[in-house]
Amino acid sequence: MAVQIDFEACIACGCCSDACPTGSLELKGRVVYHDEFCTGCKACIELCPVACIKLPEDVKA
Amino acid sequence: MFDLAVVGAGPAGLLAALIAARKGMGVVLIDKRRDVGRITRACCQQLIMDDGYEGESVQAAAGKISFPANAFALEYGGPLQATTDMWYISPENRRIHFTRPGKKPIVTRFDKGALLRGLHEKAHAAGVEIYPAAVVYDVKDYNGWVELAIAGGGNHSLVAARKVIAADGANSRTVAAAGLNEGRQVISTGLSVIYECQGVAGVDSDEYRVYCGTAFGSNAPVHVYPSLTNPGVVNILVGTGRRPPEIVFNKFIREGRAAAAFRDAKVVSRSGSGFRMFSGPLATPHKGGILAIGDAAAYIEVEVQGALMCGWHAGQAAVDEFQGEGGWAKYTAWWRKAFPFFDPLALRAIRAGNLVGFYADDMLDYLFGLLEGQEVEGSYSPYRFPLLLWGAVMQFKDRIVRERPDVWEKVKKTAVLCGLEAK
Repeated sequence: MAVQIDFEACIACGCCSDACPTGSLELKGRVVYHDEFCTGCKACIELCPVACIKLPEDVKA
Repeated sequence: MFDLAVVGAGPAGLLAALIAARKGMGVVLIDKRRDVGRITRACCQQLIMDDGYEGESVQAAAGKISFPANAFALEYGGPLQATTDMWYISPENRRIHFTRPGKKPIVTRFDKGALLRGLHEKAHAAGVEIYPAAVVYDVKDYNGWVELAIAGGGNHSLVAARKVIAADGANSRTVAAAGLNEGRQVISTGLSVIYECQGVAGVDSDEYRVYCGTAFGSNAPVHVYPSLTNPGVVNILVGTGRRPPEIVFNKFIREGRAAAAFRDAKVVSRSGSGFRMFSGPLATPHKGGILAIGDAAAYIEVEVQGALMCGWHAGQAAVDEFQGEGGWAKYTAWWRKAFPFFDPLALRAIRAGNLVGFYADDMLDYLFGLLEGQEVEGSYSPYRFPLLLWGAVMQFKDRIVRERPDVWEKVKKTAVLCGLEAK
């Protein structure tokens, strides 16, 4: 499972790492994503204030 | 094994860690950010100066922020800016001017990064071990000690401590993982973004504006105030539910009724936050070895001053709990007394602060017009602001009944929420 992050839009506020239940999102000046732990639960998408995280199927649509 | 692990290096967590370490505990402080003093999230950076707000009357003077009712004070070396005037503006540019008697500040803005850096230095000097760039994502309580699962640098590891303080904010994972949220539900999600803009003229350093009305492009009030640290920069704060803040912001500066003043705004920086809103606060913010403090346990945000009070009391509580002296219970007794969201009347009054959602734009023009030309007592407290506003509006009760019966029908309901007589 993987989300896609638009790094142009990301403001590195850390709301996604608050939300992530598996510790897959890390703050390092910008967000670093470890997809091996991601379960695709969408908690990060819900809390991103700039809507820069999407599921791959939504990016295509 | 640490005596105490504190999760979250905001004002609550830093002060809790510092106090516990000074009283001899072995403390580890874990935060997701690499640089604790760098604020990345849109958040409260001002003190609400109302007497009695959250059971305290905070004082801010050069070099110090004091909490007389809680009997402590903190050194603070950063800038302070008193905001003495607030304007609420309707679509037809009717303005309510809020002040306090004697031009006392309504809020005092401060540099949160400077405050956190000061606390961080002191915590470090007191022997607190600090783990930056680490996210706590799971908690297990083994009856006597607690294990935290943390992720950082792509690696996962475990930290063990006798006691844990969860101070990781409104979206606390620690609280959720510890099972403390059982009994309260997520009722909605809020998004807010602060746009720092150049090219907005005519906002003075002590001025705070709130644009109210859908004609401005937002279904929630838009707050406009000057930057504390960057001259010539103005902050524009938009809040929404599910609608992306970017869309609301662009409407506000380009198409909304106030666009003429903001059209040339150039965004130099953005900070944002998304937050879950729960059905209520944690009335019992502890379970086993874990205590939740600050926004992690709150219903309405406690603001920085509330978070500092929580940290102060929690640091002492951790020592007592560690020694088997019921620290968590003592903290809980204070927590329920200090914060207004345990008072049903205060919660009712908050609902009366709902202007844009409840009143049509022309009604806001009419109501703001009634108060134009006078100075109305202002407050930034969400519990007290509605009481002051509607108290002032109700002086015009007879006129509203006569001129705008449709507005009166709504004002009546609002006034009842404030506990005002509205026959």
